[in-house]
Amino acid sequence: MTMNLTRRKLLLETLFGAGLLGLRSLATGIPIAVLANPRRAGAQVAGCSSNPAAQYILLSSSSDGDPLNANVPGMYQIPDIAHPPAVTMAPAQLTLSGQTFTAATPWAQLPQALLDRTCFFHHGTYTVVHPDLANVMSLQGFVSHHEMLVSLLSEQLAGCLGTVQTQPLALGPRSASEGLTVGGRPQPILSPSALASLLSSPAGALGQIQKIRDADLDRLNQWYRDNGNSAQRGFIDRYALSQQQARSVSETLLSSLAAIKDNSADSQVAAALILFRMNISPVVSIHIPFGGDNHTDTALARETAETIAGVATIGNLWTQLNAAGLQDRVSFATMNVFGRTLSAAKGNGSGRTHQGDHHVAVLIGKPFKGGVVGGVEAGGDDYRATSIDAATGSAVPGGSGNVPFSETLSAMGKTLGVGCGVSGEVLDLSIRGGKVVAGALAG
Amino acid sequence: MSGTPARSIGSFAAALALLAACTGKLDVTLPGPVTEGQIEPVSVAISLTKVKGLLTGLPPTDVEIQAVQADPNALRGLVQQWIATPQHTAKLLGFFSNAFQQSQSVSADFNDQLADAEGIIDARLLENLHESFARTALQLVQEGAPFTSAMTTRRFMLTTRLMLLYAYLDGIQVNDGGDNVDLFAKANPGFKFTLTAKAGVIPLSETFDRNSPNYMIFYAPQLAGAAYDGLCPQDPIVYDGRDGQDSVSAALYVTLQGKPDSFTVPTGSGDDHECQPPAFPAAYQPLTAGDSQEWHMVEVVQAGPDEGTSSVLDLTNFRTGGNLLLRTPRVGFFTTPSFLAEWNTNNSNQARVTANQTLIVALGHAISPQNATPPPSTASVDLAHAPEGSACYACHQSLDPMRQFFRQQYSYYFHPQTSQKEISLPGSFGFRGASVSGSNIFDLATELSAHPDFAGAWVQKLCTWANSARCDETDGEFARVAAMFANSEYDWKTLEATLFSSPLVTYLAPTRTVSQGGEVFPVSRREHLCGALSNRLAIPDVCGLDVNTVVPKGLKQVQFIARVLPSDAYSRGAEEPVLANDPNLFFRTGMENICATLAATLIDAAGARWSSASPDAAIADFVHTLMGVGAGRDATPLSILGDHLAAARAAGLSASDALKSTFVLACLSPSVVGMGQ
Repeated sequence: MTMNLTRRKLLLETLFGAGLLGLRSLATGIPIAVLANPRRAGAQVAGCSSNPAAQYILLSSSSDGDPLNANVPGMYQIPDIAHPPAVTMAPAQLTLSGQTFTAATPWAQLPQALLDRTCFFHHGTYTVVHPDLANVMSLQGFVSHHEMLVSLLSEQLAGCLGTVQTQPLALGPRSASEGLTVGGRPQPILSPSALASLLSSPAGALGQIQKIRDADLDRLNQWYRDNGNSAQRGFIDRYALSQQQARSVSETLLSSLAAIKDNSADSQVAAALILFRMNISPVVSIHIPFGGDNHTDTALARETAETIAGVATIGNLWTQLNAAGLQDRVSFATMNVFGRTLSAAKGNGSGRTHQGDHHVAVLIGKPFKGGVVGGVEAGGDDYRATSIDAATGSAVPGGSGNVPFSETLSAMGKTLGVGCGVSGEVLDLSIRGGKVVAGALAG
Repeated sequence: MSGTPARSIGSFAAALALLAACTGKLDVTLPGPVTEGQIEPVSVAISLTKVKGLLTGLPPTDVEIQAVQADPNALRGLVQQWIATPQHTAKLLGFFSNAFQQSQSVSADFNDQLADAEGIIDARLLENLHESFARTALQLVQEGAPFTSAMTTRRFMLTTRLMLLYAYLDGIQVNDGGDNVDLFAKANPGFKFTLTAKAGVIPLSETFDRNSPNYMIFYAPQLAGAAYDGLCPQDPIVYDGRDGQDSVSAALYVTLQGKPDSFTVPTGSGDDHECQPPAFPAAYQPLTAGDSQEWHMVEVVQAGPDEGTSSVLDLTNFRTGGNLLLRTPRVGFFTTPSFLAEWNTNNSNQARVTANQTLIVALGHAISPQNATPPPSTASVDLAHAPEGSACYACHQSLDPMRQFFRQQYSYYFHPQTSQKEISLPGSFGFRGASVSGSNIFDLATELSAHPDFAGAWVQKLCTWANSARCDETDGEFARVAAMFANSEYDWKTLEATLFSSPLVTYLAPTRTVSQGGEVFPVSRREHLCGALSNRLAIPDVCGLDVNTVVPKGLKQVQFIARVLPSDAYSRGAEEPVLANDPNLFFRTGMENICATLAATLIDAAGARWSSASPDAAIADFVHTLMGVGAGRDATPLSILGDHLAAARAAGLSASDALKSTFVLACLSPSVVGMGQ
């Protein structure tokens, strides 16, 4: 180190003291908005200072490829489609925004207000390979730079919502293949039951002088920056940003997080809603099982049990959203690696295999209109998603819809994005193919 | 900094290949490294901080830094010293466990293999399963065996509990349809065992002595006294595979784990009632703590069709190691129960995932149209699933004959295959340019060990571990390291010494990998962080990651948080691990809580390492030992920590709390939370 004291002092004062925000921002990589108000280190995204349509997104994803597609509205017109024989899964009528459909009993038992904002979007994922979940999340590469859809949406929504971070959060337990990436960088998978321990500040005397310690850590960081190269400085800047973000987290809800004692689907939902209330990230990803990788599933018993539990978790989500007053601020979506095969004649009554041609995204939220988008028709050895009429959302068998089968995944992604408040122009620039399906959106 | 032009790299590689072809074994003093492009180099101190930190969790000493500053060639010698330390052995254990994909399975993943004993894998046994092959690889390295033997070995590091598990699994047969046959019971007609407290204490040696009158009679003092369940037999309890009981083989195996196997008895109303006898008291557990802590290198000998095999009845013999004589073939990393649990299969998948993950581990590449090579025989290609000429066929022509190595040998439940159709259809190897006839799983092992991708695959795994990012396999320096490894007869220590003194890792000179991909400075992920904290603070397994570690109450919070910190993991089908490198707010706050917990344990507590009565000495130790900043560059950190202590005191904190806060500050410094800072 040959830097003279005067310059060092200047740097310390300007970079981490009360000096010029521009220089500090330049030196640290921390957005000016954060530096200007470090207690509120909200994400900064140009062009979205306020957007009443912006939604938080709770995503459920599974690399198992659960049979969620088999028992939802839109799957009961074709007699050959196998459904679990259990009485608890018997076909039942339900109403979605005034239209009557048939689905497995658990879906029909959800509150009507929830059903009226639940859209069952039939589409393809175009893969039958478990490890392809990351590709499906990037809409099979149709999102620019292979970004994951939820990462794109998270970045776009962060500024609108003023969240602490722009990256989406993944809650576990889940396999590494269900992790999220942002710009190709894997994000950590967090455990709901550990969130309180992670986020809380040290108690007692160590907590009292946290600000002093933070300031001295800034000084230490600066010494490391002075002695490091640009790559090291990049790390230190990200580390410094994480401290700013940590200090902007409201601790008032930590006691609620502390009440979460396990990592079940219900606990993941509970943790996600608290994280939304803490305004940490626009997107939280969880895993609600709906039957798993049920190749061997006598009488579709696992499918039955997990569908009942999974729908109950969605019902519980609705209850909690209403209790927290978030029912109009949070949208829910499912996005698995693929659906599962359907034909009863081909033996799917005792287990199902991978089906890349048909998957159902369940979209729930204020922006969505209850109903069914697209549908299913015979295709290949089994069935596949139809093309879609973008204006109405109707299924167009035979492939003549203006959203062809090959673009139904992109269409679902764009529809989710627009529904949650991201501009259609941004989505058209960022996502190849597909169209926003107006028929899926509430008026 | 001078870079070597690309043309020279090609010439160098060609010369290297020629020399290798001529000599068979390359002299490790060959010129190198191969440099290319431009980077912003790091200082020697930073470089050594990274390298020694990776290898041992410890910071470099001033003497070591000065030695390399004076002579860059001194680094290789230092690396050789560091890889000989016990700290490195511990780190390599974690690397191998992950790299061989043995560490991610959970108890339920073993249920397919366990048949009636499903759910029996407890935390200690699970850790044994995760560590077994890593320890095997370590042992092979210590023995000086070529690293390719990790593909072909039939010797495994096992504990008594693992030997018992291997023997149990071999004693049952679960075919593709899930039908379960107790081969042990068939080989031992009329076999039964009894639990009783009535005969007084029976040493386990007598219980397992065929010549003893107490043979297969377990002393079960928990059956004395009050009835555990009024509807169930109390004392004796006899297990003989009768209706309502699991197979006698499973019942014995489960009972040996410490809690007698449950069974059902009919009730008067025609229903069944489940009986769960209480667990053995600690002093009379059939298995001891040592049974899951003492490791032996055990050869698994393939039993002929008419040969007797090892069984759970050999428990007392297992405690001295010896061999296992089994029907079930066990070879290399890819037939361990843990690998097969992690990459289990079913009638749709047909062991394709198992085969693909085997290739990823051994050769670093997955099946893809680009990697597929037509094998000598395509008889096992599933043409209904992948018709010839279809897009699917491009992969399946290679994958299906590859998975047949497994299908020919194992059922979907990884017990010996019983289907003659599958047995008669041998595997065939076609992958990335190699097309070799084969038959059984042992042939697969041979092909993996002989494949030209082997050296590069393991350089890549180690390089990725070191840099937290994939290295460029077209990099001349990468090729040099791989050639050195191959031509040292796959000597692992040569690989480590070469790679960790290479600019691929040291960042002291440009390589194509670094000049094009950039230098990576990640957070210290769990295994690195915990290794560093343990070794720098002299608290063995400070994070309590080992199930055998008795975590003091004061460190429970460290254990709890450490479990959710980012760690290395492989996802299905991925050629490289998922590495969460970036700090985020959860990492930052989690680290602060870890550091605060450690401060309470390490300062002013009974027997604590540091005392607030000697703050200067403590602060010096924080800087030098914990932060790893040497005396040659410690002035500023010492000053900042000293200032903090004073500020904390001025804010009204006690001397003790002020020093604790100072420790937390040091503990949160970039050289602790980050790698290579």
